[in-house]
Amino acid sequence: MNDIAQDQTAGTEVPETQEISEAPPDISDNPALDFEIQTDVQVQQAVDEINQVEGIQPEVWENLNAGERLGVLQSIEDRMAGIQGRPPVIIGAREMDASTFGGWNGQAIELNAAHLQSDMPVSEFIDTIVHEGRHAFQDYAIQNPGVVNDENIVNAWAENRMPGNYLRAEEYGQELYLAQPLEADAWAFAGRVTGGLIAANVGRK
Amino acid sequence: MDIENIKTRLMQEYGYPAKGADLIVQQLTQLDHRLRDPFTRWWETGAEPEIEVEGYTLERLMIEQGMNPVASFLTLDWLLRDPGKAKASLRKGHDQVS
Repeated sequence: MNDIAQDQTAGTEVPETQEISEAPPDISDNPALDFEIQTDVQVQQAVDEINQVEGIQPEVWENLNAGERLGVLQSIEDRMAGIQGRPPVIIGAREMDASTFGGWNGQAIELNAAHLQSDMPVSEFIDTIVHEGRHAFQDYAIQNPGVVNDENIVNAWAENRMPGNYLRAEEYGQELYLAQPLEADAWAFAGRVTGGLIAANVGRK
Repeated sequence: MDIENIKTRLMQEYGYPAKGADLIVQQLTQLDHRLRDPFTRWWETGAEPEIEVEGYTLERLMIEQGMNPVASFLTLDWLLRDPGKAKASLRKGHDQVS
């Protein structure tokens, strides 16, 4: 824009269309980059927001009962929903295999009830809540075109979400489970958030 | 390996959808050579192999991770190919999307 202003000062006629063509490419012209930036912003905001949640300090968490812990984790989910521009979902707990940390059933986040009552570090729960919340965001993006601009990514999530296409670790092994689009994105996203929190010395024993 | 036979049994006995059975068969045909004979023996006789990879056995994966034997063999294969990443991932467990 400054260049154009200088040209005009010099008396050079600049067609209106030239101003548009010389402007930096709009971010939506590059959906992949758009998604990358959107994710970067969400990660940074998540680190900042979760940092503010009361109860995630290990010395506090250790003294909370299961109900109080659910309340703390719900507070994290509420903040994550705001960051991701989606409605918050309810967090509950139910019996699960020891190797299953949580789940997303399309309506709510479920946690392993036994884990919630154990001495498992709070960082594991934050990781699970952010991970399952990312699945909620993926569903929201599938159902609301434009939430994620990159159609390739949304289409891959939608395909993975079709009946019979989700690869459970119990049936397909850990590698195929981890590599599918929904899980690859959720694990990467939650890993970045928890990594940022650890770097900020939050939720670490 | 009789691929069609494996695919049919995966669908009929283990409940995999056709697309999933194809994916499993594709993975099984690329199993590490150290797992091929143990898998064939298990497939034909049901005998669980005593093979251990990075501290993991078929039985341990079935008990700790809740995997069926086919998933356990595929995970043992990953442990052979990429032990660092596989062990780290197994320590983190998994979730359920439904």
